[in-house]
Amino acid sequence: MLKKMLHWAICKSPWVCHINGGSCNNCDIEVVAALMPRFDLERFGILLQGSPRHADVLICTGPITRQIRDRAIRIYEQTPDPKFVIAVGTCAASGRPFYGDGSYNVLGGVDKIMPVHMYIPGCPPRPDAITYGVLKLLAVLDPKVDKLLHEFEKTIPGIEESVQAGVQVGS
Amino acid sequence: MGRITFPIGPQHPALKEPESFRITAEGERVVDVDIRLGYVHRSIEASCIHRNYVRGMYLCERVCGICSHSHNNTFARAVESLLQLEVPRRAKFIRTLVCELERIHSHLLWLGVAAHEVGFDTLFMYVWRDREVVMDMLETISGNRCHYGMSTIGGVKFDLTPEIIAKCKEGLDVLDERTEYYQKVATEEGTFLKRVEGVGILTEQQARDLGAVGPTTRGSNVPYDARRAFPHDAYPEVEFDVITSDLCDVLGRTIVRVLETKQSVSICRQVLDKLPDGDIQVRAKPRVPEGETVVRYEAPRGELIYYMRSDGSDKPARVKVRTPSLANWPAAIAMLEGAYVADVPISIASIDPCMSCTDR
Amino acid sequence: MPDLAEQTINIVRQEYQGDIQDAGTMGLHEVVFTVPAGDIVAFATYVLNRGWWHLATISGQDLGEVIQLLYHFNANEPPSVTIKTSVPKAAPKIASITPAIPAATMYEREVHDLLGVQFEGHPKLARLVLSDDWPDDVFPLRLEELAKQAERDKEKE
Repeated sequence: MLKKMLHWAICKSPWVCHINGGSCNNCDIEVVAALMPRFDLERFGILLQGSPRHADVLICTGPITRQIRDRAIRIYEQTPDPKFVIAVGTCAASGRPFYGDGSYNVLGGVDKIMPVHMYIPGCPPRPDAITYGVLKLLAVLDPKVDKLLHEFEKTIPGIEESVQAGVQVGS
Repeated sequence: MGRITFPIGPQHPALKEPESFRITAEGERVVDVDIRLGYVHRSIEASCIHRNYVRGMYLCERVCGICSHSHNNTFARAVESLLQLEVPRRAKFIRTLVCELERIHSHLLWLGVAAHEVGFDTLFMYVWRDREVVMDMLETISGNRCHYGMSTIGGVKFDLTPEIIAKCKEGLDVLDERTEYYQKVATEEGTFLKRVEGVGILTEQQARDLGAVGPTTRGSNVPYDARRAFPHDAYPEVEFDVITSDLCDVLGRTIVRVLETKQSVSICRQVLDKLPDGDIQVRAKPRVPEGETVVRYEAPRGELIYYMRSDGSDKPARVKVRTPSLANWPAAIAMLEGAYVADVPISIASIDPCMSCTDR
Repeated sequence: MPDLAEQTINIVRQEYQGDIQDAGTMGLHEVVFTVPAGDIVAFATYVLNRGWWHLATISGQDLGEVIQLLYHFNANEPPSVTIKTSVPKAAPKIASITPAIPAATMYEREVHDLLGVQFEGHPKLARLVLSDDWPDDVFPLRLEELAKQAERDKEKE
């Protein structure tokens, strides 16, 4: 019963906490821009919280540097279960271009220190892409969100072609 | 009264970037500030030595997401200085256009964030909605909302078609009207003035001694602007004023940034009207002859300076990046001494700190 | 620019009484003076008090036997000044200019962190950008460390 309620609460109104693991700031600005009047994440019930204790979803940007590693793990552990981690940006997904080729302080993408459930590539991904990614994650849990996702997709020009192309590349 | 030391950061609701402050306060007054940097240190300078010039330029662009074109442009100019390469005039004008559009987007971003720090969320929402006009213009020109990849060694990558120019001019008309409105808000709105007047005082002598740059120092009456001191690209051919304010507080810096946004709109108009015909790129050799150079640029936060040394191969021997945010930290710490604890967020926000620029 | 540079070099040579090992130009706007490491505080203070120039940044680079330090200054119009000096890598010590020029505080800390140069007289020579768990005797911008990092990267691939 409790599990069902939790499930409903997360899918209807996921609260988000943002961790910056050493990013160039761009994805963070796009996450904030997603909350602004033009893209408006809040219509999906997504609220940006200050404390990891209040969050269902952790949005992580940036490659993980040595100094931030322990603090990021601590924040992950403080977030109560069930939780989901979204890696926003190419450097959060893979660590590149900062990782490797002379870099001594970068450990890699976010998945080097915590399990990631959704990767949103792009440098930076547009605010609509970030919204799409969050909703796609929730659509896995709740078919009603899937319907919402299809409504949202119709508002993004060119999305059907790129989703089809992505499916072909993936398979 | 006893002293208490409390930490702010690296993870904090008010901070978008990881930085750690240890603030020692006696009652409500700040007595000492200790700052720990290094959370965003991605070893950019060492990585540039292992990568060739083109990959290095791609990497340096990603030092900061807000002033990315500043880094891209300055790196390209440094390599062109070593190659002694003259860039076509049309390319210089296009570079200046993107530089100024970036300045507009950065200052509007700052105004929104500063409004959020003083609790004025309505202004935050308004400003960021208008910032989308600039982001659309930049996306039309280059294909991305940030990290445009506009400058390359030898010129620019994307040309301006008549349709793009018409769209930009429409956008500039909207921005003209909105910056008038924000200038009024910044100078006449009582609730905003009460939070920023007399807060974060940095005297002119302090600004000079501590080596502050950009709107931080121009808000304390020091008229240093690298576009005027070391002109490059299309800056010698456009008219603009160096904006200063003698208020020496957060209000002074706000006024400097808003008026600079207006100046940038005017520079963009002049660039579009005077845009010459011609090529946008010349071919550059991959191997750069031995030499060293220093290049400067007035990024939105202040003066950005690159030192580059080449050893005849296709990889640089040394790339040194001094970002304006690193130069402004001693000034920020000086502002906080003796200030109220409640004024700490807005005082720090008034230097427009960018930790990714500071740590590189 | 060449005339201005020559004029500047002549004025500085006349006014400054100490030892200037070399003078030349760099890039588009810089006039470069090379001075011995022991004279750095005197020459930097002279340049600042001249009123033309204020400190922009301090770069450091490993040239094999020596670590070269470059003190970059700014001006309200060209030319601007860069001071070059060198310290031996085996004993990288130099007097700090921070007591005389407070703007140098962060830049000297950074060179200390990444290249291991000791700035004597600096009020607070602590770590700046490297992490807390970084070993004290490893300096990432030294040539040996750059070579070791290249080896480590090859192994990763």
